[in-house]
Parts: sequence; structure tokens; C-alpha cells
Amino acid sequence: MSASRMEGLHSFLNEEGRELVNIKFFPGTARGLTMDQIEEEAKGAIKRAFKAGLPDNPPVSGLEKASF
Amino acid sequence: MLAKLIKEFSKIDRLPVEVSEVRDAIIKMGIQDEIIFCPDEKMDQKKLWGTYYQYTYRKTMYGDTSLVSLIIYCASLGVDWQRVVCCKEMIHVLDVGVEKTKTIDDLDGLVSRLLGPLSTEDFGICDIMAAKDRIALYQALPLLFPMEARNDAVRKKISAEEVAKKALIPVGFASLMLTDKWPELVEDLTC
Repeated sequence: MSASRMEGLHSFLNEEGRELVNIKFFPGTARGLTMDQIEEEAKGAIKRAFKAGLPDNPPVSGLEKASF
Repeated sequence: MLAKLIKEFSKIDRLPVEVSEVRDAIIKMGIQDEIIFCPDEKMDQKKLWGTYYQYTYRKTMYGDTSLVSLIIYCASLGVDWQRVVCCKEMIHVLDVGVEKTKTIDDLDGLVSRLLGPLSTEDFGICDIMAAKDRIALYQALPLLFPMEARNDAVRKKISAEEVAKKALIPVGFASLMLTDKWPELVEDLTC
């Protein structure tokens, strides 16, 4: 990834009054995955989340609790 | 903090543990104001399964600063993997200073190490960040399949497939957690 692209992501993470504290990634399984792809995908996902108003939807099991 | 969290969850014997229960316990610890989970329909699972973005902001110009963790996960993953991704990312709420990725150089170093081969010639802080990113996956597992439930499954000789179904975790993790080495591994991962 070029320095300018990384600066772009870093700058985006510090926009609109937000200050970056920590960022982490869970990379996908594609072979030959590049830094550019991770950066683009993460940036796109964060942008979409803010655009949607940060709807809070943790995954839900839909199962009843039970012991073995 | 992580050891305390895992100890608290270790007593649970009824499954599945919901992701929101883990969140509530972390918020209760008082180290984070908000943890938000956003499923992303457009995230390409070949490229990314999830991302963790922790930031501060002020709701009003002179208001108090809020510390927020935004966890975005790939909506096309199965629910078992969505849960693992979300809990792994939640572990980063507990990251200590050196494990946090904050600067441009940190970002560059983290991603290059996550994707590249481990190098014996390029030591540095980013190695610790990348190592933490990988280890967090295993640190999250005892929250979704707590020790009491795990020991119960071992005593009753429950299969990995059945554990995976009840704990709602991928079967590969269920197999690992049913091995004799798992209790010791949990101790090592959280010390």
C-alpha cells in the first residue's frame, strides 16, 4: 500500500470529530490478499456503517439456552 | 481484565452465550462507553470478515468525550462465524497501549504483518499488534463456550459436532476446545 493510501485511511478514521484509538482487522480467505484490498474493504464498511446511522445489530443465535 | 472476564463467564453452563451478553459484561467493567455491532451486507468475505474501529468523540462541542468501539462484521458469514468475529473484535476493547493500532505507521505495519510471512528480521511494535490480532481469536473462544459448559460436554462425551450446534461456534473450534490441552491453553492465553 502506498503511503498516500494509508494516509487516506488514517485521515478518514480521524474525520468528523472522531479520534482513532485502535483499529484491527479480520482478513478474509482470498489467496494473495493485498493491503490495498483490506484497506478499501475496511474503509468502505466503516463508511457504510456511518451512512446507515450506526444501527446496532449484534448477531443473535435464535436458540433457546440449554445445558448438555 | 481479560482474565476477570473469562473467569466470570467460566461459570456459565447454558448455551449459547449471546454476543450481547459479552458486550454487557465488558460495558459493566467501565472501560468502554459504547460497543456497536453493524452487519455489512456488502463486505466481500474473500477480503474481510470484520473490522474493529475504536474512537473517541464528543456528542456536543464542550461535552464529555465518549469512547466507542464499532465492530463491523460480514453479514454473509454463517451466524457461528459472525459470533466468533464479533467476540474476537470485542477482545480488542481490552487491548493495552502497545497493542493499539493508532498511527499511520502502526496501520501499515499491522496490515503488512497480518498478510505477510512472519519475519525474523523485522522485529518491532507492529509484530506485537499483529500477534495480538491473531491471539484475540482464541481469547474470545472461552466466552462463547465457557469452561463449565466445556467440562460438562467432556464429562458427557458430547461430540464436537453437537457442541458446535449448541454453542453455535464453528466445529473446528469445538474440537480444539474439547481437547485435554484446552484448559491449560486458556490459562496461558489470559495470563
